[in-house]
Amino acid sequence: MLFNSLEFLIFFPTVVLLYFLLPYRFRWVLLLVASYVFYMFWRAEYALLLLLSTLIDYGCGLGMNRYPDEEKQKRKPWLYLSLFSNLSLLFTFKYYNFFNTAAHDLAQLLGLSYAAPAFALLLPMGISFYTFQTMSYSIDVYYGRIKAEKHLGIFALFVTFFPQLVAGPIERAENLLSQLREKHSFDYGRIVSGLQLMAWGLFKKVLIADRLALMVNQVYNNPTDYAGIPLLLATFFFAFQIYCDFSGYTDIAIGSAQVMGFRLMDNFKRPYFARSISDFWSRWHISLSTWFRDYLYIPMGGNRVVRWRWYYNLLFTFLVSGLWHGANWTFIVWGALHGFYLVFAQITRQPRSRLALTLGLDKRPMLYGVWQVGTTFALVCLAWIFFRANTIGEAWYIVTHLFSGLPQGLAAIIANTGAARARLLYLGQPMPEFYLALLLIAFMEAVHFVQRKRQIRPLLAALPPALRWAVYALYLFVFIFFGQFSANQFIYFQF
Amino acid sequence: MRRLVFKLCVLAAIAALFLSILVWRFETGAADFFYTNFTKPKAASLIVGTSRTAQGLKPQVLQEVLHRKGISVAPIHNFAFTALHSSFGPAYLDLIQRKVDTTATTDAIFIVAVDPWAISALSEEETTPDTFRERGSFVSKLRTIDARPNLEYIFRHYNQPYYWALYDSFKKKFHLHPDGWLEVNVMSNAATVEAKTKVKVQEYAALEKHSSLSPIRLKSLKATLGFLRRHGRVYLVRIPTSAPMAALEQQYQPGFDMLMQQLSRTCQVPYFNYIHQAGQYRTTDGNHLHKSASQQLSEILAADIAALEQQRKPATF
Repeated sequence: MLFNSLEFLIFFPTVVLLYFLLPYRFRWVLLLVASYVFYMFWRAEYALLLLLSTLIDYGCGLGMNRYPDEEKQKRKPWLYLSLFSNLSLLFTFKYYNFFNTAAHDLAQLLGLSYAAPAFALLLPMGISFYTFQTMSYSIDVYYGRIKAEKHLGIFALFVTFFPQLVAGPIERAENLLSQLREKHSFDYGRIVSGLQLMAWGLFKKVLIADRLALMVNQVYNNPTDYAGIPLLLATFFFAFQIYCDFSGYTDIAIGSAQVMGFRLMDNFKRPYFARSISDFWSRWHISLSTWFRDYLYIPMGGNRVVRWRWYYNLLFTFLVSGLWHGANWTFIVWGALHGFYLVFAQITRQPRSRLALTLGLDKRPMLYGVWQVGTTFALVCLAWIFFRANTIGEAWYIVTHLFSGLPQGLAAIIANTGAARARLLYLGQPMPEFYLALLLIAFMEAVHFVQRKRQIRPLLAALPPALRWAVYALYLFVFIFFGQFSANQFIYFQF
Repeated sequence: MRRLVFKLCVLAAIAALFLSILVWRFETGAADFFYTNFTKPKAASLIVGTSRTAQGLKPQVLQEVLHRKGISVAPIHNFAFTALHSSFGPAYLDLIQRKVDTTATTDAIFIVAVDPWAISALSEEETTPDTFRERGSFVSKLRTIDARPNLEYIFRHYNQPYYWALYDSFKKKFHLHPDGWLEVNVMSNAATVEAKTKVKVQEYAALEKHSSLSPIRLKSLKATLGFLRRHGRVYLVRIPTSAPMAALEQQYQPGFDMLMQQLSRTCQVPYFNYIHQAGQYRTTDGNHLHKSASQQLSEILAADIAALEQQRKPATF
C-alpha cells in the first residue's frame, strides 16, 4: 500500500481510530495485523519472507539471550545464523542475478565457460530495510546492548511496523522495541503535529517529486537524444526529485507513527544545505548512514587506524552502501564516488584550508558558506547521475555531454525555434509544469531556510485561528489542483 | 477526540468543496478528452478506433445521413480514444464488450476504424498484453464505464494535474461532445498544418523503426469484429490522412490493405478504405482530420453504408 493512495486514506484513519479505542493490551495485535495487511496490499505471498525473517531473528535473539555477556563467544553461532539468513534472503532476491551476470561476463573475458541459471524473482518491497533492521537487532543483542525480545508478537511488530516497514527509517531496537510496549494516550497536540508532518511529506512527494519525475524520466530514459541544458536540468531536477520522494516518504512515516505516539528517528536534515560531503552524509538518509557507521565502518576500525586503512574503510563502506541501494554497477559507482569524495576531502583538507585563508574566505563566512554549499551540491549531483542512469554507459554519456552545445542550446531556447523550448527547457512537459516545478522547489528550500533557526509547526500553531485555517484551505487547494497524481511509486521502495 | 474529529470534518468539507468544483468541470465536457465517454449509458451502436477516429467520425452526421437515406440506426456513440489507449488488444476489446448495450436487438451498427499503428507493437517491449502500451491506462483498469459523475475515472485515471481541468485553454481548443466526437479547434492555416505534418511524420517515422504488426493485436481485432457482429452490422473503415502520412504507412506496412481485405472476407464485414483519398481531406496535423473534413468523411461514409445496405435489401414491389 502506498502512502499517497486512496487505500491509505481509508486504512490509516481506521487503524488510528481502532488503536485509540482498543484497550492497551490488544493494541500490538492491531498494529501487527495492520502492518501485514499494509504489506500484503503489494504481494500477499511475499509476507511469508517477512514472517521467515521475523522467526529466524526472534529465535536467534532468544538463542543469544541464553548466554551472559561474559560468554559472548557462545552467542556467535546465533549471530552468524541471523546474519547468514538475512544476507541469504537479500542475496537470493536482490543480488543473485547481478553477480551471476558479472561472473558470466568475467568468465567470457577470461575465455572460460560459465553457465548458471538466472532467477526470475520479483524483488520483495522493502527487503533491504527490514533485513537491515533485524540484523542490527541481532548484532545489538550479541554485544549485549539490548536484551532479546521474548514476546514474539512485539518482536514481529518491531520488524513489520507499517509506517517504516518498506522504506525506513531503519530503526534500532533500542529505540523502537521499548516504545512498542508503551501505553500511548490520545494527545491532541501530538496528533495534529503528526498530521501536519504527514501533510508536508505528501506535499513534497505529490507536488514536487512526482512532477519532477516526468521531466527527469523523459531525459534519463533517452539520454542520448539530449546534450547540454536538458541533461543539466534533468540532473538538477533529479536531485530534488529523489530528496522530495524519499524525505516525503520519511515525513509521512514519522508523522503517522507520531499520530499513534511513536517516535521514529530523523532521516533527513536539509541535506542540500550541507557544506561538505561528510556533512551531507550526516543529513541524508541518516538511519542508513548511521547503520553503516555503527555496524560496518566502526567495527572495521573507523578512523582509529593507520591512514591508508582509514581511507580503505571509508571507500569500502560507501561501496557497500552503493550496493545496498541496488544490484547494478551504477549504484556501485555512485557509492564509490561518495567514498572517493570523502577520501579526497581528507587528503586535501590542509591545502584547501590554506587556499581559503589565502583567498580571504575566512573573513567572508557568508560567501565561503555559499561556495561550500554550492560545490557540495554540484558533487552530489554528479554522483546522482550514476544513481539515476539506467546503465553505466548512459551515465558516462551524460557526464561527458553535460556541457556540450550550451551556447547553441541557449540560442535555440531564446529564439524558440520549433519546439526547442518544450524539448530543451521544459523537458517534454507543458510550460506551466516546468515553472511550477521551479516555484515549488524554491518554496520548499525557503521553508528549509526558515527551519534552520525556527520550527515551522509551532509557528503554524501560534497563528490566529482564521489565518491557520486559511493556510489549511490553501494547502488543500494546492494539493488537490496542483498535485501530480499519476506517477506514484516511491523510488526507495525498490531498494 | 471530539475536537479533532470535528476539525477533520471541517477539513474534509473544504476538500469536498474543491472536489465538487473539479467534478463540475469534468461534467461540462471541457476538461478532458475522454471523460464523457464513461458517463454515458451503454450504447447500442459504437464507433471504435484511435484518435483519428475520435476526431474523424461524427456520430450525429452519420446518424442523420443514414436516417435520411431510410436506414434506421440505434444511437451511435464514438468510443475511440488514442493509439496509446485504444489500439486493438484484449483490454480495448474488454472495454468495448462492456460498453455495448447487448440488450438492444435491432438497428445496431458498429464502425471499426483501422490503421497499421492500431494493430502494431510500437516498441520491442510490447510482446504480450502485459507489456502492451495501454496496460497502465484507464482502458485496462477502469471498472465503471457508465456512471455520472464517474468518480473512478476522475480520481484514479485522469493523469494530469487537476488544475488543467480549470484551464480555459483546453475548452478553447477541445470539446468532447456527448456523442463522443472530439471537436478540435486548433490553428489550422496552411503553414501551421504543413509544419505540424512534418513533425508528425517525423515522429511516426521514428516510431516505425521500432514497430511491427502484432499477431496478438490482430487476433484481438478479429475477436472485436466477431463480438460486434453478434450484436449488429459491422463496417471496417480506414480513415484518410495527409499524403505524406499515407506514404509513410504504405512504406511501413505495404500489405496492410490486403490484410484488411482478407479480414473483411473472413469476418464477413465490408471494408471501406478511404486511404486512397489521402491528401483530399483537410487535416490539423497530417494525421487527424480537420472538423470540416470530419463532417465530409462522415457524410461520405454514411452514404456508402446506405448504398451498401440498399443493395443488401431484398427487392420490394
